[in-house]
Amino acid sequence: MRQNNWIKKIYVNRQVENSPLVERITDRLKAIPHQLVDCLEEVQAELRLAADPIAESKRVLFLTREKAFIRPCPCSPGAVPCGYWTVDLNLNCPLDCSYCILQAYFNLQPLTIAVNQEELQSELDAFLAGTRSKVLRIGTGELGDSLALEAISHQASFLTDLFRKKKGVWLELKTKTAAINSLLAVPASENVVLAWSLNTERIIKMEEIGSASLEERLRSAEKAVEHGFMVAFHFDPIVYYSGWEKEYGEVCESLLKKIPLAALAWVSLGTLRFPGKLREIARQRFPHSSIYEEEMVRGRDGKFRYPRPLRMRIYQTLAEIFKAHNSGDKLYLCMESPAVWEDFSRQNKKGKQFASPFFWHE
Amino acid sequence: MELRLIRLEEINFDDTRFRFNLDKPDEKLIFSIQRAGLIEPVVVKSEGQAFILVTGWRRVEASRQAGLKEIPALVMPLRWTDLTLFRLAFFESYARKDFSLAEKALIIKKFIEFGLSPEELIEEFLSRLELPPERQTIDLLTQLASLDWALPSIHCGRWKLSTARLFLSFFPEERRAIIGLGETLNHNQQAELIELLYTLKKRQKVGLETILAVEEIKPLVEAARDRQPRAGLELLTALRKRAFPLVTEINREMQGALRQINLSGNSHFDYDHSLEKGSISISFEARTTEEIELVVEQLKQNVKEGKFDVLFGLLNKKIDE
Repeated sequence: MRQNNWIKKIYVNRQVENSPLVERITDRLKAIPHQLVDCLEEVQAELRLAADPIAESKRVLFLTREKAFIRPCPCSPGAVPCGYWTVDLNLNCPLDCSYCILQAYFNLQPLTIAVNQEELQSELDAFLAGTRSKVLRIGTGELGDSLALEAISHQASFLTDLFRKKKGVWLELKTKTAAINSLLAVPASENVVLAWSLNTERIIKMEEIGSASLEERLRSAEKAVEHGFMVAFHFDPIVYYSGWEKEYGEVCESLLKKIPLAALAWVSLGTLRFPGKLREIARQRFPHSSIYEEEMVRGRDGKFRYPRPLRMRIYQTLAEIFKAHNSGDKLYLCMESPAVWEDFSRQNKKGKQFASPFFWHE
Repeated sequence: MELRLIRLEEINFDDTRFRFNLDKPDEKLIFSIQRAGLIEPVVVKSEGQAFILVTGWRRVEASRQAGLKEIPALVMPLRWTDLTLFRLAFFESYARKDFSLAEKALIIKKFIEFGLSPEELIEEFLSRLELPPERQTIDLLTQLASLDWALPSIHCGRWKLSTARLFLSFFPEERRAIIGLGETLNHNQQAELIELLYTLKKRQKVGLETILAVEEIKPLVEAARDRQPRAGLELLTALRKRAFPLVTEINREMQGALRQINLSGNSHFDYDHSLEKGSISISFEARTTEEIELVVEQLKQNVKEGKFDVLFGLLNKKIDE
């Protein structure tokens, strides 16, 4: 897994120069040069000159303030939404996964830490007061890994304390790392779920550069459970390749063997999908990768996916494993069409209404 | 600067340092010059005994074809640097011409050769050329501009940046093969051809030569190279079939199953050919109640015979490895 020493420069927005968090971070990263800037554009002007601006953007840290943190998760048009919300204290991610949508989503966005995190408290209170949902799921792993910068920012432990005792709200921290030390240093909270994206060792090695190994992720999950946290897992993206069935099956079995059912909050399944723009970028940045070259169809949302019969076969194969361990009800699909949901529900969630496919809404 | 008449033979046509316009003169321009002469002077630089064209390549070529011996020219001051002159040439065209990607590549390469820094190019020109203002755009287009043998095809094909990027990921000898195959295709088809070849090459982990030597592909490749009509399109169809075997096969079976359904009333069946939706839509025309009753009866009969079960079975096909 990547350590902090790959950060080569820190830019500090002059507006937050005197923030306590800026002081703490720059103190922790004393050896790394830092520079005051007036705006993000100054950092972007540097990134533009790099041979690979996306790779470069993962090596520079920008400490700034953000105006707002909570947003609805941008589901794909035409997919069944799961009502997820995101809270984004960090933008961009130091890990470099070949399939990562952030490559196409961000435009010259350095690793960004919002150092005005204390302002989230009032935003969250106003948000919760204004929402009608009885149960909310909110997470930090959409615009960057939830824990990859934890060693320098300690934001996940801050959020854990902030969400503690918030009734009816699940906070999910999603990661591909094993960086849970700061979370093990605070008491677990029953509404905070630590989640790991899982993949086969082959995909982790080939496509998830800088991430923790499968074994490290599962070991961290075990530690989190021992500490009292609920855990969740995301098989996302599931990649189709020769041998996928055996290897994903082994990952599922390994997970189900190590994690007690009572500590398992949910498991999502999502096959590889991407907009054309991401494929264009990734083909250039990851010439060794061939995950973009399997048979794909373009959906109405403009994203490429495996043909529906293949996706169904993949989902059903994994669902059978979970069902055999009495954990089929923990499953949901991520960014899938109503047609796939209907088929999946018919086969795996008998008697449950399609109108509310997500079990935490029930 | 001095406005004067210069003889065409005084121009050194081998010196193309300022040239980036890849358009050839059309009949209308040649005809106009034949009738009215060249009214708008070209811009030249004096060097030794000859003139170097700065702007007006297309007009000069048209003048030559129109049989003119002399044309009006603005001779620029000797103290002006090549970078200043090239900047002038660029802005002379900028407002009135949509540059193709091949022309943009030449512009960028020449600005670099004339000493403009990447920072200056990004700041002043890339956004104006509707290109991502990044260093890697400069690197990619400089590489493209070095393929002078391919630039006319890339120009005529109105390639996009994404097509060029993919094209450059092929080996040099493979690039030549690709240019030879796409001559009869439009720009969207050329982009698809490159996309399909790239996908198959990566998926099968073989060279382009192997892809093009496959039994059902080879004769189409040869026909496309000979620029036979429709050969390029047939090659695209064959490549699609290889790149999308599952969807192609289910669609083929769907077409066969649809042909088995008997329905009058100018009926029409439709379904999502990408197979994302598992439904079919049926439409028909009727002028009387009896005609509707007839179609309904026929539908019932087809249902009874299990013909729709076959359709839905295909649309919701379960696959094994």
